[in-house]
Amino acid sequence: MQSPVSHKILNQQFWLTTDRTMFWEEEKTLIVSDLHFGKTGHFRKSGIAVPSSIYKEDLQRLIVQIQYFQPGELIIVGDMFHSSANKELELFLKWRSDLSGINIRLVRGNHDILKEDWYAGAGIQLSLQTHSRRQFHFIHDISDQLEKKEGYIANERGKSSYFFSGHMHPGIRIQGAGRQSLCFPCFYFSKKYAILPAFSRFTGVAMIYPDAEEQVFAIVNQELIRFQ
Amino acid sequence: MSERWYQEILNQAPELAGAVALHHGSIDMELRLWVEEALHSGTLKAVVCTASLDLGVDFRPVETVIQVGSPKGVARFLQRAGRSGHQPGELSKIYFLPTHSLELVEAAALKSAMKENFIESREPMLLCFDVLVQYLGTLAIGEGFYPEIIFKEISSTYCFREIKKEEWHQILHFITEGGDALQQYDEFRKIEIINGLYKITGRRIAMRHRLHIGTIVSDAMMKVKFLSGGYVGVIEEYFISRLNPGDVFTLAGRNLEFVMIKEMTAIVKKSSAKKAIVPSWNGGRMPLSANLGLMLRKKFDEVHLLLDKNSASPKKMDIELRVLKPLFELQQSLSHIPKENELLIEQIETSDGFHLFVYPFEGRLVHEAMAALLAFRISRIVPISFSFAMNDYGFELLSDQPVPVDDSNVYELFTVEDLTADIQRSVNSAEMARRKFRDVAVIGGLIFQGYPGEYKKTRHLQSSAGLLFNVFSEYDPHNLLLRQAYHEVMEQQMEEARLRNMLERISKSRIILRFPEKLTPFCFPLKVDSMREDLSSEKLEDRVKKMQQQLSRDLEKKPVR
Repeated sequence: MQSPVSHKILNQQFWLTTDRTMFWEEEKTLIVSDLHFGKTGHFRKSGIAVPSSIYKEDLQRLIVQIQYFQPGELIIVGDMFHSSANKELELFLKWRSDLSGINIRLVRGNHDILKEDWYAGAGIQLSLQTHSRRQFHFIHDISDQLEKKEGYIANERGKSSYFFSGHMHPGIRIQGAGRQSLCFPCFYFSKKYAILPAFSRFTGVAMIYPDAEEQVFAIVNQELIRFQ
Repeated sequence: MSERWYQEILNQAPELAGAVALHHGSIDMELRLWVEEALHSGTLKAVVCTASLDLGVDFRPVETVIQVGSPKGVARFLQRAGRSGHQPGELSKIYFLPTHSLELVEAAALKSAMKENFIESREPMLLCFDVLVQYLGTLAIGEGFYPEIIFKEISSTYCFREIKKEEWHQILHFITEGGDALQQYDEFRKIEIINGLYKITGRRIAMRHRLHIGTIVSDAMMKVKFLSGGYVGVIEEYFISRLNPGDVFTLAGRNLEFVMIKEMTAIVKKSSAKKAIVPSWNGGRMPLSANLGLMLRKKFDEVHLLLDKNSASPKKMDIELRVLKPLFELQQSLSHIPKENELLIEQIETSDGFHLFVYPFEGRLVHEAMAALLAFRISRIVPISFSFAMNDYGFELLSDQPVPVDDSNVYELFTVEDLTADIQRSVNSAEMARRKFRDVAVIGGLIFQGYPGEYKKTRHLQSSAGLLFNVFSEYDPHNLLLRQAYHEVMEQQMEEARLRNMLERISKSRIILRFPEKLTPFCFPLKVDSMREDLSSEKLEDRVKKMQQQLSRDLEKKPVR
């Protein structure tokens, strides 16, 4: 596995990994998005035979990330759970009780439709809209924020701010000579906000088309490759 | 294509508005029925259509059929001709309108094939497990079924007469438990066994099954509506997903500006723009039949008589070939015209990269397989990436580095030896099975396309066939439907038998290698009208890095914005 890749935002140190996570060094916080826990179970319940191994592997990858970075807090920018509770979530609860030392903060996404006390019972702190730490804000769908124009650039007392979001499952298409074309999930950083890749591997991607001054890290198997 | 023809006819002859109509599968049902009715009663003078009018409907008043572009097969051409003069004793009339010069050769080939009654036969499909899974589901939403009785029934059909007990058990397991690793399919719910009776009791599962009965898989379709209301028709999601707001495209004979996507509906407004993108449908792209391919090769053989100055009677030659004489002369001077017992390969370098064109005239599907196979065999010589393109005449391998094919290795690259193994290895990379899997997954009920008009509520069950394909390949490689996709790719898509015949033919032929300095008449249609695929033996990471470098080189060249 490639070691994490450094990325600095507003003088803070972040580390990006090919396992689709991001570690904020100063705050000892691991940031992920779109875990979609329980998705495969819902497929099976509806008569579509998708094995649960892919979910178990997602869970396993998250544990490995937590063991590697030893974060005090895990921030999930939405879509932690795919839908209503099913057996796959029981597995999550078991896992949660084994790792009770870590804070989990969920910024609610459109898929997070469980009752608020369910999250409390699972030891998950829930933010309904946004969560903020220093000059950084966490939101599920950045387009909600982009619509509220005045709030967006938010130069609070001259301090610039930055948003982390998910929701989109960003992917990038890369073209080369001989008309070759490939597509990968990616991290996307614009001047004012970032969109994280979906953590779950049982998800698709939506293409993004970055401008010249924006940065993209494509996740190519076990390597992060930077564009622009 | 029909959209474009319809537009152009009206541009050329605006007075025909009202007498001409458009008919294809993506047009609103109501409009389609109206067109069929008007055609029947004779109010319409002409209908521009796709294969949508090939079968079924009876159109006695049709006097003439005009086939635009290649019909791809002798049987299909005759079938279409038969849409005119559609009653006993009547004469059918069909015109063939070629869309590029080489199709004129096809016209000559068609005529000869018809004269010799050289018509294709149809091979029935075997062991279609996806259809069986669907059939069992259909039985289960009714009164349910007992496996012993149904096994007798299905094994008496031609399609399933060779089904093994083991496969049958696997299917029963699949529809009741989800898959063989029991624990991996926890909470699976579809068909239940109640005192030996297999039955679907879940109301929602039953409803979803009913909505998905059928074996014609179309691409995911999206409704198209006007901003102001008004329904236009449906269009492939794939096409819409590539549009940006403001782009203008043509549908149902109108130029439409794409505004946005809202809840599985593409919202558009009328546009007066002259230039519009015409949607291309992936469906309906039939490959050239083996019969027509053979006839074509024979015709090229005849071309040599035409070009031979000493030939006794060029007048006797097909008029189509005589008309094309200048083109053949150009092809011959730049490169070569393959005789019946020859295979032509052209290697050309352009700003796009290094091209290798091969012309077996065996139809697009065989070429697709052949391209993957050849790319794979070349990539064993050096690490190299190709994108490849194919049409009914040949295929192209395009690379960013020189392609190591020459007299010393060319016969080896086309050998029949190790064919099956090599195909399997090249298929894995070429992802043909992945595309085939879409159809299988839809028919087998793995892909839920949503309730009509109820997009939002079912979104949590959406996934792409590609994603499922990955999951099964990784975690349940013995999955029945996955295996069927591979099997069908071999049997039908790759037409392995035909591929083998082709390679055997090539092994007895002469391979002619040419290095033309510019593009030839033969390769031109391949360059402009083709479908593309990838195959690579380089490490993915290395490929991307190479692309990254190319990208930055391009950026350096560009002036700063």
